[in-house]
Amino acid sequence: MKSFFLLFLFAVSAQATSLPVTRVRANLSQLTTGPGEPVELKIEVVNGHPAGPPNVSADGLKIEYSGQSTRLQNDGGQIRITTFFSYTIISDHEGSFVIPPIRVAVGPNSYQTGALTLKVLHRDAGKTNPTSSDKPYFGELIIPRESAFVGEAVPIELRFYFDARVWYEPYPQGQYPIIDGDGFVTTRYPEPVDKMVEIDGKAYHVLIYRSALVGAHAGDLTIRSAYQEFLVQLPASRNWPPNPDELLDPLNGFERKDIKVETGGATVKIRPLPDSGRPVDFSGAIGTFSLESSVQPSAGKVGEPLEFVVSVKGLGNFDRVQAPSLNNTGDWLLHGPSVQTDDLDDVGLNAVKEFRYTIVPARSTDRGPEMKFSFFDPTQEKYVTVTSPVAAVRITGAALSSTSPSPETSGTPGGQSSSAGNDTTDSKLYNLSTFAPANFGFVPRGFWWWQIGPALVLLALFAQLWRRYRVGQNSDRRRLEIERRRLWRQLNRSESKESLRIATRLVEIDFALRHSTLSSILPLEEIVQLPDLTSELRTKLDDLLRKRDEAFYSGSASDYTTPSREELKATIRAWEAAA
Amino acid sequence: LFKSFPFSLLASRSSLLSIAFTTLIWSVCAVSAADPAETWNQANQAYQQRNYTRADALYAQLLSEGMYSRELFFNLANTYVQRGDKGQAILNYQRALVLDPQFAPAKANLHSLVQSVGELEPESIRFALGYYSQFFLWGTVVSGWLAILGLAWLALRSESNLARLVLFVAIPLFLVTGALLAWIGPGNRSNKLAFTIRAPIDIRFGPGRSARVIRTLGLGVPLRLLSVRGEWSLCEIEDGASGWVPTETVDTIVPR
Repeated sequence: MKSFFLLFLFAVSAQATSLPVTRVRANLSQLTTGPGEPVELKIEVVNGHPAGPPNVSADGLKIEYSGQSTRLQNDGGQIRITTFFSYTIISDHEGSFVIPPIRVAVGPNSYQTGALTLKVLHRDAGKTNPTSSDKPYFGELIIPRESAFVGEAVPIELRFYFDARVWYEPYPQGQYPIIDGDGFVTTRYPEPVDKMVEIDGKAYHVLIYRSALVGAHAGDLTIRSAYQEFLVQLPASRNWPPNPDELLDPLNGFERKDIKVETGGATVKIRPLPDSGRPVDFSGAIGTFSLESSVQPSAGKVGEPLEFVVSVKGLGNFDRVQAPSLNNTGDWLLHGPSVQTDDLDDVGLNAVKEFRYTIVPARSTDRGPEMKFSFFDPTQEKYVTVTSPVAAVRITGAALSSTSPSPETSGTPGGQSSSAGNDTTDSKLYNLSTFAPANFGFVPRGFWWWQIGPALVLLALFAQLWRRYRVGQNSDRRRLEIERRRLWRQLNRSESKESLRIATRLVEIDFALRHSTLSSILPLEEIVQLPDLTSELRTKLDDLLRKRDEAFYSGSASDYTTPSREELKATIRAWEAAA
Repeated sequence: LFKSFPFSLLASRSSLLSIAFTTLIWSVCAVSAADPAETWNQANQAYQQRNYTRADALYAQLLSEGMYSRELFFNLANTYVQRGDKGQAILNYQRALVLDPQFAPAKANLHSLVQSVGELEPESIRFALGYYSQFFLWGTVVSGWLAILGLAWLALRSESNLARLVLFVAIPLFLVTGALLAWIGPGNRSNKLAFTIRAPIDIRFGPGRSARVIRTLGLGVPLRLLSVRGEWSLCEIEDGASGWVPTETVDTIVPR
């Protein structure tokens, strides 16, 4: 029992230690809202046990904690625990409000979400389609920006409203809205959010799709409309008095149909990125980013590999964020990186992109690698270069002799001067002995010609086999013909009962030669049974058989009469003529 | 005598002119065609003088003439190393190894280079065997022929021990090499095999920069090129995942 308990404890602790990395992120149910209209803020803690609901506050916003929920998921055999904290946010006046990064305590560690921005607009501002409370359904496109830069990701929302009495689902299932326009790309759609709202005293379900829009070139980006198809059940007028069949129909009173809910259009002015001040290492990243870095372990020797992680955090188009570049190139050799991106919101605009390097110190130093990263900040409308904080390290040992290959450093083929992680290659030049082109294809040159040789040998073997077969056939025939001639000669000489046996054999040989059954000669007893013989011939052959059997097997010499030679010849000739 | 066929032709003035003109054109062409050995020496000389741009151009000229050899790819890869283009260097070392899988200098340099870019992962058995795809092709064909000829010989001479011995060796060899050939196919000589020559490369669900990233690849990662659609190529990586990458970031092992 004790050992079982220990085993259980071990299993539980093993499960606990194998939990994946804890992640914390925050999301708003809407990016824009109206004055007095509530928006839900959800903080999600994955694989961690938070101490309690974190404190959230922002200037100009009324934020109230509304509850906590937990979800358990089996993720490929591993249990994932997600805790959600919900808050209701209301603002009484218009403006753009920033919710600063929220600190969440999970066990001994503290995690931080990304900053969030909520725009509170006048009811009609930013909306492309005036709400139509007289309709059972309508769509709305919300683009909170009027201008953006080429490559900048602009968050958008597509809202589809349905009267509370209307049942609906996207059709076909899994289909996402289609935006009609040119000159832009959109990021992926996360799962839509479904919520209830009240417009002009009337309750509506609203399905909100969030995405981001990236302008591909400068100019006016015009979105003509966006639409999504739905399958809906609308309330229908009833007939009176009701038909009895209709009463039994569960869908009676509802009209089911496939509809296309369309939003209005919008125009966003896309501005080109300025040429002036563009850093050389600018990779197209637009947004607000910061760098963090760490080195593990922090002490070592020259030439010994260490792990270096530099993270780009912030808000922007993370698909264009490339690896930062190294500032202090003389001190460190970088190998890698491997890249991982963790989204901190549904759309992927708020994220952490982690670049993991193996680094090798080239000389003794107390400063870790310093990385720099350039991006365009659309709020300041200028290029910004940030550098990572330099980690304190302690590297000892003599400096590496060389960090770049040179053509003179040739050696024996395959031999390299081995400085750890160096790019040293064997730079020896080899002389071509011939310029005969080598074949890069899978089937070697002349492959099919090479098959002619064995094919000819095989043909020769088959020819030999055929010849042997034919020769074998001919030799049997020849042997029988010789025997037939010999038997005829004997028959001409013999008057004794032996002539009966000779005549029998002659008929058998003649049959074999005619029917090419050379290897297995049929006895006369079976030949007589053949159906295609005339009755006269069959009688003669029967007579021949009977006389032969009498002569040889009766045991009495007086009971048979030896037929004359001419009689036997006549029988054989009759056989030959009939055959 | 001069009225007979060949002499009458020569006697004609226009014929003489046309023959002279043809000879002239022929000799001009012969002179203008670069001697591959000369180009090779010039390329090596440029490399020694650290004029890597010229060396690269001269090696590329030999390549465009189809003068493939392991030494050419090796030297070209060295040039790319000097120019800092590690992606092309890895690709050309791989090309040298496809032509000669036992070429030790290329193996050593490739190992060193791949280690330096942090992509040193043990290659899969299938990829390692892929260098020997031609060997398996020949093994299957030769053992197949031996088995057929052995059977035919046995039909002729049923008592032949030599035929039995040949069959005893050839049939298992045919089965083994045939199975390996079916598994690896053209191997590393496949014109669909490509390597990443830029890094990092995001492999995406769709042909566009806004499409979701499936994975990020480093330099010298082998891919199977499924389709090339202009600026984007659909490819499959070793673990079976497939997605789109910019066409200019990958290059095929078979020179294009």
